[in-house]
Amino acid sequence: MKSTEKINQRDSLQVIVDSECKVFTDIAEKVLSEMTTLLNSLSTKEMTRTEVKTIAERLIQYQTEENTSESKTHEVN
Amino acid sequence: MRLTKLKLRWFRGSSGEAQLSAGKKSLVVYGENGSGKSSFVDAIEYVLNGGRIGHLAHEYSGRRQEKGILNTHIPNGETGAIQITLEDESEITVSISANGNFSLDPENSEISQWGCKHTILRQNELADFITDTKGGKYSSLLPLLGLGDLEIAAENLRQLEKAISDEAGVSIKKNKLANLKAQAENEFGVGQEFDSKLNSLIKKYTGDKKTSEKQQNYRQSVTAVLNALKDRIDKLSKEQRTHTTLNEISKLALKSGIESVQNSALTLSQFTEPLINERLGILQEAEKFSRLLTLGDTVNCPACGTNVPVDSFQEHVASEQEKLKEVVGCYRDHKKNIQSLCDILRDLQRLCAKDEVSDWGKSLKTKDAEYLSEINIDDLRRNLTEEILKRIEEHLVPIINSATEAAKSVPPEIQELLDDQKCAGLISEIIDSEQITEYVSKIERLIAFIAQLQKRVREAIRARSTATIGAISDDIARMWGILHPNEKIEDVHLYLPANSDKAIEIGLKFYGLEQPSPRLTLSEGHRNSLGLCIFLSMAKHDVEYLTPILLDDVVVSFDRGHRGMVAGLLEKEFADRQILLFTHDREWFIELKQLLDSSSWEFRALMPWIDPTTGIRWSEKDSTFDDARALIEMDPAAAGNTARKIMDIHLALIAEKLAIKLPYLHRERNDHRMAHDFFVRIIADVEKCFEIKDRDTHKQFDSAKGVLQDADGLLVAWGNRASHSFDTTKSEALKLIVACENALNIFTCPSCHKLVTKNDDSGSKIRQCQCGTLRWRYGKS
Repeated sequence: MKSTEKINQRDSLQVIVDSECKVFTDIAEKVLSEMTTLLNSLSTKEMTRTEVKTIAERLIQYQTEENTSESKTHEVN
Repeated sequence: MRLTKLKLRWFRGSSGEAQLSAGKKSLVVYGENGSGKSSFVDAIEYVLNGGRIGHLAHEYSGRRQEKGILNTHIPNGETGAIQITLEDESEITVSISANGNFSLDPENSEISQWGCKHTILRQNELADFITDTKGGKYSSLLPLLGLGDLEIAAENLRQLEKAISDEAGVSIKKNKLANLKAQAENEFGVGQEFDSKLNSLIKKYTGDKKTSEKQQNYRQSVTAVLNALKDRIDKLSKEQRTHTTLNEISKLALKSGIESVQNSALTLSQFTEPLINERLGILQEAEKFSRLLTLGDTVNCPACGTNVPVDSFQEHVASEQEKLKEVVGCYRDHKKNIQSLCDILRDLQRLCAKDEVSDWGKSLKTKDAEYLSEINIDDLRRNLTEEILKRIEEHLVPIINSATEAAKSVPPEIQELLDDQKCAGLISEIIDSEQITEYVSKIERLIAFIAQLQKRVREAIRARSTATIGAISDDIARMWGILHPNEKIEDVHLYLPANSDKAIEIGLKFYGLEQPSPRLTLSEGHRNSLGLCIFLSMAKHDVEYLTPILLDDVVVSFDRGHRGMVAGLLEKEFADRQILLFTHDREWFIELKQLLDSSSWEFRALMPWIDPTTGIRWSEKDSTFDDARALIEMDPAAAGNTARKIMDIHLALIAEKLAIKLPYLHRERNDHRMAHDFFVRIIADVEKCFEIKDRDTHKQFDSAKGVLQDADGLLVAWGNRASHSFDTTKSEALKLIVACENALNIFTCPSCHKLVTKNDDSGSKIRQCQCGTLRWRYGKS
């Protein structure tokens, strides 16, 4: 695949993560930051079960340890 | 990128060396069956597929396909080789040893990135895309959609969403909360809070005024109540404590624990763990193997023994793996149930050993009491057989029943203490559940966030896919229109089925009616034709490397009319790509020579195959008369007959282009003319019509008539005899072949080497070669 096409897809992914981060105000800052950091590896190769489990544990920890906003929530079906 | 040379050594049908030279042009290669055409196609596939050829993936070819890849008569010590030269003069060399090991030099060249699926099309693969599953079609198109990164991201997000749910134990916690809610509704009433009950317990046991409604005070209050209750219970007399302990024993869920273990054991009764692990291992290997198989075959599944078509084998393997994973899940549940049961037994042992129930214990059957005191819980955790389970049920359930019975006679004040303790315990759990509820809520928000990301990525994939497949569909429809003009099968297009990710299907209109798949109405020939259009469209969109396109005998199932359209399609749509076309169809080869622009196309013919040691041989001419020559020694009559057939085809095409007028013959004879039929009319017109340029003027082509008459005479004398009485000598056959070649050469310009049929000046009713030296004035016939 051409490198321009790869960059193009990475940009799309960035746009998606950025826009959803603004909508989901009750998500911990550390979670949002972690997802932004993960963008590169998310689209490079399929993660192994161990990798997925490790990331999941980290995200759970970040989400539950931090006091998230209780005011606005975005109802997603 | 164009291929200029392809050299083979002891690879497939080649012996010492066989070289295909294309220059930078497109190439049509004629060769009868078995002459070695496909060896060149196999060589390219071998390199693109990292040392494997799809149609050799079977049990007889060897672990590295070495028994099929190398020439069967390769001398000892020799190695097979492939050398590819590209238009930038870079070379890629592959060496293949006797055991099939191969080395690629250089290891990372551009050719390694060429996609085999969009570079090579073989006759038996034409309809593969059409008959493939929706997911298979999507996989084929995925490289062209250029959305690999987004697909990977979507899949990773899907896995992440699932992992978060599993790791956080969301469903278990929600079940617990639901159970708690049910208990609370049962205890306090639907929609009622526990405040008033807690206040009454506070007043009863601590003497405090009712608490404020802050969460932390709830916790403090209920803790105070529980502590107060514990104090009171601890201060009970031995006889009074008997009732509390018996109450605890009666509450042990031994019966349901035994039932759970029995049920999960029943589920697993047909499997054993070693068998499960063995089958999982076999399936993993089978799944790898399945990727090498050829579509159209069937495979005996090594795990379950079922005979399964190859194209569904991967699905079958995946399904078997899912089933076994389900069984492994059941096995894990069974283990959990055993652990839970052992925990209950341990509690039973502990409670029954308490001093306050010793009197009650004496009322139990000796065998039951002894059994309880002697069972080793740790052993049970490792090995709980059905036999042991029966004994547990036989000896220990009566103990529970006895405790339950004895607990009925508890004095009211003790019962009240126990009820209040249970209620306070429930209130405590409800208060604690606030944290669980908050935890679950946070996790669900996290899951929703990840799910939304996945959804957005899938939407992006769909939007981009729609645009790309729209462009590919336009090409398919256009190419289909070229191959099938004026047919009522139209609007052929790819589409993304609704409610399906990673799926593509083909739609069309059949005589005005929408069809969701070509498999419903198209004939085999039409499906193959559509398969060709789809392959060429996808190749057209694979623009990263502009690879050569190899077509190996792809028009076998086409009728003459549709076959004739293919040349126009290739010239119109692929003027800027190199096409390497291989065919055993002599008539089509001759037709292509006339139809395709010789400035962009070369025409080569292979000689008939003799033996593995001789290998692939090229004819020195671009005609197919070497097929006839090859037969002279063995069968001169067949050689003569072949020469006649070649002339039948050539002269038919020439006569058509030169607008030779022929008398009508009744029925089939009109469509099946022989060479002599054409010769008669051509010779009759040659003096009037055939001209050659001499200096600046055109004059009658004097020598043409004699050459044509020679060939016609010999065809009548020997060609027909060869066909009917099989009585032709070697020299006669050779002379006939030479005369026929000379006769055909008469129609080729000695200056530009193009046929006199090349250009048509319909205004002047003249057909002429490219440079105009040779011309036929068909208006004068």
